[in-house]
Amino acid sequence: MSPFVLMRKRIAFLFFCVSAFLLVLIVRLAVVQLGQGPFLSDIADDYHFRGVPVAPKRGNIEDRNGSMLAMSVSSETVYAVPAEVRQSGRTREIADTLAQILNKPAADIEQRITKRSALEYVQKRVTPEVAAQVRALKLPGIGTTEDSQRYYPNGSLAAHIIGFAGIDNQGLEGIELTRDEAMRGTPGSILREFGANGIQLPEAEQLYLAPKQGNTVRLTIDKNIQAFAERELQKIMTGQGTNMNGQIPKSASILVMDPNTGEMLALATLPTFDPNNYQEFDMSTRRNIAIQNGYEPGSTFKIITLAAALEEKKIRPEEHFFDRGFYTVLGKNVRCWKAGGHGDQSFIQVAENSCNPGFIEMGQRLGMDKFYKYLKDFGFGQKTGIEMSGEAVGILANKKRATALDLATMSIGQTNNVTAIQLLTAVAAVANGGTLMKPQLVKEIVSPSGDVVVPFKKEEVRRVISESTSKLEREILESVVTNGTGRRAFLPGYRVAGKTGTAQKVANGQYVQGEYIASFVGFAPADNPRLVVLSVIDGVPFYGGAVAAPPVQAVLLDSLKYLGVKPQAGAPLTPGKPMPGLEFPPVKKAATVPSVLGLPVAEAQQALTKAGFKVLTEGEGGYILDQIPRGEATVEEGSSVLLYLGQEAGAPAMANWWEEEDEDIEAILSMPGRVPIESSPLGQ
Amino acid sequence: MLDKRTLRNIDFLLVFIIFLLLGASLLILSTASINVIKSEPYHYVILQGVWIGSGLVLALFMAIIDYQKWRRLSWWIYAFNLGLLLAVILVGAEAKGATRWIPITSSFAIQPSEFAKVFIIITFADFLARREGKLNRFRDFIPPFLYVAVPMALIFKQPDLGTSLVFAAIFIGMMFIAGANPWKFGGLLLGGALLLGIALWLHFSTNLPGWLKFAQGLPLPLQDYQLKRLVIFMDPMSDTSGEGYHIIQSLWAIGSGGLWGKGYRSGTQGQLNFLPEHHTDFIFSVFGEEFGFIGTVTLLFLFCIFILRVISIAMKSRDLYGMLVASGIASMFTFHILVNVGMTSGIMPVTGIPLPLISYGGSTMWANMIALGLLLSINIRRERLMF
Repeated sequence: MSPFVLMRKRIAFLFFCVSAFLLVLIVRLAVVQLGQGPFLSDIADDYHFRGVPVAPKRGNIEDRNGSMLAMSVSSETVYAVPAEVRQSGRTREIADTLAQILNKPAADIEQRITKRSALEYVQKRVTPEVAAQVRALKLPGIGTTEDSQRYYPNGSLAAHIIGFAGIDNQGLEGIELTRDEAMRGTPGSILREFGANGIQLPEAEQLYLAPKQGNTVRLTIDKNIQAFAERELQKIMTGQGTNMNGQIPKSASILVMDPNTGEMLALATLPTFDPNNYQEFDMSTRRNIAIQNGYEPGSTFKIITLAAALEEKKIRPEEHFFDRGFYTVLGKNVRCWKAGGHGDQSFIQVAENSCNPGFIEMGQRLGMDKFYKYLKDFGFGQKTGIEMSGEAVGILANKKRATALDLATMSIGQTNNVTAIQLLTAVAAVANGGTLMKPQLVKEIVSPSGDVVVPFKKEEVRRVISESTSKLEREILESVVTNGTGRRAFLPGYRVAGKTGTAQKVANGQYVQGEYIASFVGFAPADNPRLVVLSVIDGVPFYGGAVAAPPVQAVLLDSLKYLGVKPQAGAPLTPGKPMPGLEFPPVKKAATVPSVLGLPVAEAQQALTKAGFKVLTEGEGGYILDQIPRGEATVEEGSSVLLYLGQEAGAPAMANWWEEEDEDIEAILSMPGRVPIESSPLGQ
Repeated sequence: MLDKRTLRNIDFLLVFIIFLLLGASLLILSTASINVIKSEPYHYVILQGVWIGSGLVLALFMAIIDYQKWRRLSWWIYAFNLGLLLAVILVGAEAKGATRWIPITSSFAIQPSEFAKVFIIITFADFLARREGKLNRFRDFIPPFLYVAVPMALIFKQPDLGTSLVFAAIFIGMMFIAGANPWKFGGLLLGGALLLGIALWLHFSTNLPGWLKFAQGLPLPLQDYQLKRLVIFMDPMSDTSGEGYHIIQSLWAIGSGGLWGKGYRSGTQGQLNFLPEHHTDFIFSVFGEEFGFIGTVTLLFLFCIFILRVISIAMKSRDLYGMLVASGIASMFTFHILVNVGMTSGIMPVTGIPLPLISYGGSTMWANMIALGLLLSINIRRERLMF
């Protein structure tokens, strides 16, 4: 029996080896099936499941009222299954036939349809007629599939916001990029089973998996308000800007926001591009200057200084301040823009006059810490978080290095670099009762069946100033428009508040002489603001109030009327102080101007004459594009009505007016040797 | 010669496992072979059923007959075996570049190499049993080696590399159990394996230093495709549409299965004919794709119990001859299972041997059934333990 014992030991040993090997196999299977399973499964599917993809229809982009801004129109794609083409033995003939229909060189097509791949596109974006023609020929291995193509029905309207999608309907810029996922949808396919030899199995089932259409993105933008803004910009950029004397600036932006919710109603920047054929435009036209560029805001920034001073109770509105014509900080005199100064004035008048020493006084009373606190609270030096790529943060002077002189210049809007969207949101916070809102571009996401998938949610960033401070400042800023430097934005019958600004441009660490960034920010109605409008015009030889206020005035007026905001009973009909060049004499006997907008000239003249008005005309054309005063305005009986004639929609225009002096420029000029922020070492 | 008492000796667990595996074979074939002949989706399932049925009769026949009876016919069987293999060379039918079949009718042929494995086990067991205790010297290894090498060479010639490797496994397993000196025999095997490795390396080498230049591209008595298949599993991606194709397709299939599998008849690799030989050698890949890791591990578990039972029959055998026959059968099955699963999961060369009891095939089913019948015969007549 002893050899048997030995042999049994050996059998047991063998079994041990076998078990060990079985264990190795199980581990191996675990690695392949569990570890690499999904990966291997994917490549296997790619290899032989030749679903002919059916592109989903990309979701639309609409404005807040459902007007189409970007849509997908059906197109078709011609594809080839090279294995089937080769098998048919008619490659040459197929290539020649397709070449004729598709208008492409036969050699190119032949090369494509014989490629060693599962599926090859022969031609994307063919018209339905061509596709039908291809289908009718029943060429072996050649088929067509649905595809879609992006179309922007309004051309360049809101192009910077919408952005554009590429050839494969992938979002590349703007909302098309940021909301790509929501709009993309899920591709479907016509699943065709292909055998290992690459030939479609004859009795194989063709399974149609319907693509899932993308969701619609509804913007906060209002197409009409956007159009008002772009119309004004177009005027400016074609040399027809008010007070521009035919000069064309480098760029211009107009931003309109609902201050209560942070919704952007318009965000227009010129130069712009047409997203339908974006490749044909220079890259620079795609830059959204209002968001990607910073500038020194100048006097518009005084709104922030004033808000801080009022909130901290460093000044009382009725408190008096004496402007000697300059303010001395650290031994340097910062001059007031008005030679000789404004003399004795209340702080309300300081604001109305945009008196530099008055605002410097506010800054000095606030002190460095408080001033910076409000800079931060109002969102300067930080991204607003608006849904646009490449937003700039702006540059704030380094607090540790800032001197009292820096504080003085910052108080009047120089030194710091801000973006247009930052200034707009900050002013909106002043206007809406004191809460900084996050600016938003997307109102809601709507599913193809019409259900709201993602509703709008307004986002309050923080409370910056109190309700009462906000109310007080709204009144002061209204007074700036009614009685002060902002009179160019005055709208008879509406309570408009606002502030002008001019910044000298900085290049190579020096202020550039004779080239300015003019801006105006305004909101209306002043007691319950519905709209905040900011215009920034870059590269003008003239001052802010003169060129930047008129477009704001026009956009405000058109938008308020469009939104159905009625002129208010108590609102003034003329500015408190006459503006040079445009007088508003007090009304003795009131009469209401009929609206003749859009009427043929003869009809309009008849209507006005009948109501007892004199008629003046300007321009050529058969229709009334605009009128001054506007319809429903209450004016002196028997006064003149100026009609603008033309063939297409025009804009309100007013007589030329020249502002001789500008508060900001004077302030800048009064500070010799200051090194502008860009070249200071704080960034390093 | 069979009474109720001996019948009670039958390893019922083994019989149960065998039936489970045969059932699994029909189930897997009903999905794996459905697209091989489109007009007759169940062609291979029905035929496999026929092979199983007739195979069970063969097994019963073998189980009833006392295995000791075959010892007397040993040399006759050995001669018959060689005759069949020579007949393949003389009248064999060629398919896919190999001559392995003897045609009987127009649609029916037998594959003698499958039976040759069982024949060599029966006869070699007798050969070894007569040399009990005389396998200690190197020269003692020569007669057994020649005994096995002759039929093995005939099979190698067909060419059927896989089956000749099964012969090697049977030889090694049985020699070891028969009491070959483990150091000398083991050393010999290791040396042989080392030589083979060096030869392969030289064959494939292209850039050897000067003093070895003469051996570069060493010619080997194998077809190039066979050699390539032996090494391609180490880097199947180097030749995705050529020799690496089988392994890649098999890996994709098994990998696609994941944990639970794609489901019965839902595996695309097998159903779309991407997987070659998916009703025979690569049936495990179809199984892995459709039944997942759970399925493959369950099947391996069944095979593990199967091997355990076969080995335990060998251990409880009444005599050395029975023990050697059972060990030979155990070696054969084990080698088939490990190499087939190893090949389909990409850690072993593609040698093209079927998964026993599962893969489609008449000759292989019959040969396996004969082996199982022999096993049961040994099992029934085992040495009773004394209480």
